Amino acid sequence: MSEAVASLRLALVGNPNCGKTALFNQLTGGRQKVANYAGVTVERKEGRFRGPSGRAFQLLDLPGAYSLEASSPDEVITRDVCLGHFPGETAPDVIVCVADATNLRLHLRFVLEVRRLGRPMVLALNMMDAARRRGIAIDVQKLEAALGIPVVETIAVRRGGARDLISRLDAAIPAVASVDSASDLHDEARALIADAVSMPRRTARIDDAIDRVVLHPLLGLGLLAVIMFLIFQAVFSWAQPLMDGIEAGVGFLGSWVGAGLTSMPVLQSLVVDGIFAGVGGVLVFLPQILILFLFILALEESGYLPRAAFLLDRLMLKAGLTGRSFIPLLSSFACAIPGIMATRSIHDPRDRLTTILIAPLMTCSARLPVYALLIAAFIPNESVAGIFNLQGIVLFTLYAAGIVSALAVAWLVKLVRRDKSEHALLMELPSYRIPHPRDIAIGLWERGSIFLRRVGGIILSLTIILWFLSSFPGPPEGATDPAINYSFAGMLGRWLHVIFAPIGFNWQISIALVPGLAAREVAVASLATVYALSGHEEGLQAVVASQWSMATAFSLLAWYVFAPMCLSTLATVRRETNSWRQVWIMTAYLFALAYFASLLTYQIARAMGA
Amino acid sequence: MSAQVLQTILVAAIVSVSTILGARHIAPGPFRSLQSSLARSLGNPQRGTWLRVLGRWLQPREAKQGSCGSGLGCASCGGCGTSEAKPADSIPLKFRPHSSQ
Repeated sequence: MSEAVASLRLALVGNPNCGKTALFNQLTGGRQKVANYAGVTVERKEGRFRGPSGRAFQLLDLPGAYSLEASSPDEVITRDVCLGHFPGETAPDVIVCVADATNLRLHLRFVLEVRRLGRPMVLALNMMDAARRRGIAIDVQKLEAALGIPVVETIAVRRGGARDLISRLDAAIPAVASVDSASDLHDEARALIADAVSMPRRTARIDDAIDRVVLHPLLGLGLLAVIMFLIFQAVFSWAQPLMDGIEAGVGFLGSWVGAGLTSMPVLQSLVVDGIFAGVGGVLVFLPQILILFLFILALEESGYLPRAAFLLDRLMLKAGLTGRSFIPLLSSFACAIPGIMATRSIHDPRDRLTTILIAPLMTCSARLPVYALLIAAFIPNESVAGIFNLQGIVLFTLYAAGIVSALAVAWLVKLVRRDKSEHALLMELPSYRIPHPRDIAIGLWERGSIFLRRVGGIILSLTIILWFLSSFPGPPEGATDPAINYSFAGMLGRWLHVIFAPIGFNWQISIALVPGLAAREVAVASLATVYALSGHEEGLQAVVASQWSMATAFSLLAWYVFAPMCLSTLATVRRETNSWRQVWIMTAYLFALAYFASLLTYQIARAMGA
Repeated sequence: MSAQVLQTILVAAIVSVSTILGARHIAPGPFRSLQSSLARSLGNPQRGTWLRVLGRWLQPREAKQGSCGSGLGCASCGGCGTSEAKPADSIPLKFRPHSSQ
């Protein structure tokens, strides 16, 4: 039998946060993002695996849905794929409906709705380990008989936890017998649970106990502030030894390679002043990025984040947002692109547009190198009140400034928009879970790899281009200034300087902002290259500290709080909104905000003698 | 070959490759169009064998797009990590007058 004939198309469907993507990763060996909250997957993903018999399976991971009557763009994808209406795609041969075994009261309703489609399907009772721990007993045979479909137990987060499911899929899956579609799905689900499931309590006792503190209107908000504050403290306090190690290693390697190229001075300059100074200048921030994501991943896994969304719902409502905006905005701390895509889980198009418009104001990880460089250069590394690190406090303030600005912009959008209706937050709070070290390690590995790929890809490319523009044409005979002053970059920097002088930027900063539009970290690499070519042999941090005024540094920090987003973000906004108008609005308002904030910061700082 | 000539060749090659990679990242759409046109032109049957081989080599492959559809390649933003996924279809915003909702 040919592979094309034997291959089966499977679709993973189910309520949000039931472990579909974890199961997808388990089956296909993929590394799609998983987290302990609803709405992580907002699009279809595809993978392949083989069963024990050698049969090939094509597996689709679909966004979570509470019903096939879709109410948000991500649910539309699930509905269309299940019904065979998705453009360019036939309906799946078998639907694998995943249900959280600890929450069947909610999940069985969707299982029953999918069963009504009459397609061959399997029910995967996921998180069976958690269900057993909570004393929930499920009579699988009885459930199977009542539903008329194969039912298997799975533990998606455990190695081999999907073995039974694979065996079942490898055997023939019968079509579902016709079912009564007139009865109420909730009644049916309740009857099934009464018949086949026994549970001592509806919710976990430990979750309720933790929630009494975490969801408390005052204690909860205080706890959230403390957690965020501690994260930024750790970013500065823990990373320094590792950063020093990387800096020393890159410096040594640069000198060693440069020493071997003395007979080729131009190539030596490219390697030492361009590649090592530029790329090395960004690479040192890897430990800080990893520490930040260590905390974010741990919070994602624990189930705390939806609680934070619940706590902030009232504040977000006042600003014209909805609690549903929290997860997309949180995703934007990694990068605005997944954040903008995650807005697909927001039902109301106006709420969705507002969230898209403010997503770039969340401080993405690409801004961290710029912040870290300036903070380390200008803010003394001293403790406040004996326990807090001053640099950490400044970093926290910059992140907070981004959040406050986003809320302010959302509030302004609320004022001008015609539809002022508010939307209540209905959100599922998952059970708490102790983060699995393996998942955290994989998440950190992914983040580290992404950063290193950027360093070795776009950052390296743009640094080399900038080196070329900063080195050619050479100075005329008898020139006394540094050669870079006569180069293409020097000329361009001086033209740009006219625009940026009122906000305190010198021509070196002005030139670094241009490649920074491709990726924000490139601004740091560009500064390192430009200053290295200007004859400064000390590290970038020392150069910046000696060459710039405090007012200029603060102005650049203010610029990067609102910094115009990178080109990839604009491409995503265009795609998600299907509108160039929104792209121009976003670009214009962020440029205007950045310029105005920098102008204000610079002029005030100068007036204060900084 | 003198050190000066070798140096010029190496620097030119490094800068050229960087320019191509940078352009592909910053403007993926126009870059692919340009690459396609060049490949078509070189693949013309009237051209020599080597040029046609070069044209085939230049022909853009099926892009591994990020889920944002930006065409920048997998996880260029570092956010989604959908390396093997097909590009997602856009989910454009659709507004309806409030009265008809």
